[in-house]
Amino acid sequence: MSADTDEMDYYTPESIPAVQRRLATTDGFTKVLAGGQTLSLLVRQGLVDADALVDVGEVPELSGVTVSDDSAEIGATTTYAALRADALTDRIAVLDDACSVVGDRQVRTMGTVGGAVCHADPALDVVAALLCLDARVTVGSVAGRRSVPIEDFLVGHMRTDLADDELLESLTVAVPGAQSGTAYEKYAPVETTWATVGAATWLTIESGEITDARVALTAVGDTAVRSPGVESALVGETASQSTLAEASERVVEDIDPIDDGAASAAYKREIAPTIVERSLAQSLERAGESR
Amino acid sequence: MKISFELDGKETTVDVPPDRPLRDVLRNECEARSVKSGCDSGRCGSCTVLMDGEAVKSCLVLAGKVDGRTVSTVAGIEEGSLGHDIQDAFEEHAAIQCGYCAPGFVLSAVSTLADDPEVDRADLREALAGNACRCTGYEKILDAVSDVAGEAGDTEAGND
Repeated sequence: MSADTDEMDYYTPESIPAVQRRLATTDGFTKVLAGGQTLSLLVRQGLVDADALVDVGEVPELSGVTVSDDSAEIGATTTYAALRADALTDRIAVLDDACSVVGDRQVRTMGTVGGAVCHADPALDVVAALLCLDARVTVGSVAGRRSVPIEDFLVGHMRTDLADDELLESLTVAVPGAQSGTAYEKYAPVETTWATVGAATWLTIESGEITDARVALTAVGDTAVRSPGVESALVGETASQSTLAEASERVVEDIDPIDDGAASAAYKREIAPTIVERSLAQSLERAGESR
Repeated sequence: MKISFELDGKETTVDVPPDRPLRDVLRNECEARSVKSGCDSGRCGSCTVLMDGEAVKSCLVLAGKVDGRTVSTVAGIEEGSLGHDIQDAFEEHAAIQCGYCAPGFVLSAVSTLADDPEVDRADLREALAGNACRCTGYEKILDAVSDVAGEAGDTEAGND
């Protein structure tokens, strides 16, 4: 069978260096396979016709969470289910919220956080959550390792800064402190389906004043996007429902939705401020909770 | 590529391209026709199987992934097992009409109850959201699985 030219090579390396050696030496179009929840559809639709698949599911050090004081490193093949089950998501509500609304139980069992970031579909909920957490993406190859802000890693619609011989190893995120609250709010016409609009938010409140605000959105542009308009309208203001409502209106400055399978661009534009406001209200409530 | 796995307790080896959907391999090479084919896009859940005990959608799992693992379908459910209790409850509650979605629902329920034997109805609704049924309106399915979860709760309470 190996002489068959249609036969695809399938590798299951068991360490990060072994994956990277494989990526450096394999000829033809080689694709890294994690949980396969998005890749398998692309394969079936004929959009990905790889000569070789490198299944990274057997690499122990790619999976799991390491927490230090104010940051956490999430392994690329950590599944949504594993991340929700980890104590980290008790401290980062926006990640728990986002992971809980991805697809369904079956998809969350297999789907991985790193897979979502590499797939870079702007409709993937967890990517906006990571953007809101100022995530840094660690990628490596046999030539070495580099760390890139997720904003720079996401270069376009389903396009990333990952080179053919590089592997996404982990994501490093900020862990909110006691004065901060975070949330992810998603609107989708049917539970378990793709977001029409999603909003990941972070608010830090000190003595009633908003001192830090981060807003990132799902499904309203080529990539997950931040909203500097909303963020700047919040920082320095008194934390109140009316402040949040007023600032949320500015989200339309920063989004560029297209008509997609979920809704028209006009509809997304119409509901985006409401989704942002709901998410901010949740973050504000959580910032008030003692943790 | 030669792929070996345990299917419903039997060692199985197939020689298929590794990027074939597991569902196709199960239905064709393995003749496991209780694994249904519905939407072919990861939405409907009728192709759900257990991989190492966890419910997954076999149309979204590339065949290469199951090498060395175990795969369970409803055909492998044994008398006296949790799966059998769930099947009985489906029958008692008339949670089946056309039956096409039932194998997927039963396996999702097995996986859910194995993790949380006393799961409440709200969590159950979320856990089964990946399976679509076009006949029953879901309530009878939730009744059936809740009944099994309730019994687990009662048994637990009885032991206290």
